[in-house]
Amino acid sequence: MTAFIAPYLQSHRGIRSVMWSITACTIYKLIPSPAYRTRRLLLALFGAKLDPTARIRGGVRISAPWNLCMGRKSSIGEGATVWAHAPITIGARSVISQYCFVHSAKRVGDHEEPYPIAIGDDVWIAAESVIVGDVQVPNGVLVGARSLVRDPIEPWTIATGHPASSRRERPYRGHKS
Amino acid sequence: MMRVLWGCVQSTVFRYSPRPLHAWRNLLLRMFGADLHPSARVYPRARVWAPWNLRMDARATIADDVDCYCVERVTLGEQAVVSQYSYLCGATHDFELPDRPLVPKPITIGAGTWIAADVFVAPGVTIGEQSVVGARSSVFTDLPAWKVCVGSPAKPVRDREIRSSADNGL
Repeated sequence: MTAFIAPYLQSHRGIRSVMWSITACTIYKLIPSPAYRTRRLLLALFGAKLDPTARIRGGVRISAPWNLCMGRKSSIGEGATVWAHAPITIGARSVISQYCFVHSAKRVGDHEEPYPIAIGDDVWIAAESVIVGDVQVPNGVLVGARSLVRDPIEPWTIATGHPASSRRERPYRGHKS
Repeated sequence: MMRVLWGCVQSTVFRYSPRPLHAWRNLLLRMFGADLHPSARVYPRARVWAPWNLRMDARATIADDVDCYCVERVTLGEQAVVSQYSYLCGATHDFELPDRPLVPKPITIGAGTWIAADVFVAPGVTIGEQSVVGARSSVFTDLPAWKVCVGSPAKPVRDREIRSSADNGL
């Protein structure tokens, strides 16, 4: 048993994962939803690169904070799941809504391999959507509720469906980044 | 302010009330302005965003783990049932404006309609009476009455018929 656990605990990464899994189901879970700063501090302690204006709501499950990077005024909604096997980058003013599932891994053959996910600026991933694998969501994309993002999407478009594809251009009365 | 107060009530006496005490949860919701028939049932793990926007007629039910995000009016007709893990999403954002202001829209679910498990109901949707929405469907447009609807986006696939229980040999 110890021979099985020891290599995990001896490596720096192993200790970090174990510490985080304990923290995630105790202190992290108990932080009230609007206490963004406390949550940010705790995640930063575990290596998350978060802008001071980034917001993560309560009930967000993050498997590996050290793989999460969030830009200015970006946010993650209540109850979302961020399975960060590989780096996940969220751009400025981008929003991941309630109950979304972001999984930075892809099934290759009979096993899962980590693949990074990059989300651009001004993106809105609406509620209960799923993002998997090796995808890049370009700037200004709006992904409709309950969509599955798996394939490439055009910038500044509205993408919906299962799997999601660009349906039409996104009207925007601001400066397009 | 009311939201904070309701949040405290919801996460304590509402959330941890014993399951059969429907009358107690009914009372709590009504204290916060919900328009509930005394026989309406809301299970303890359901989350109601703002009870003052919720209206439930006789024997209407909201099951465990349903998220009722009622920023606008959410109406459940007589004997309407919303099953586990469903999400009644009562607001969207205006994505044309850079600051994305909140746009609340009402949701109406007709009498006798059954929303099965883990269904997503988009803002502004009206579902006709006596319809059935299959599990894991996503409802983005209005649905007619007396239909069985499934899929993402949910579409009517056939008529709903109600037999008497005598037909089942009961």
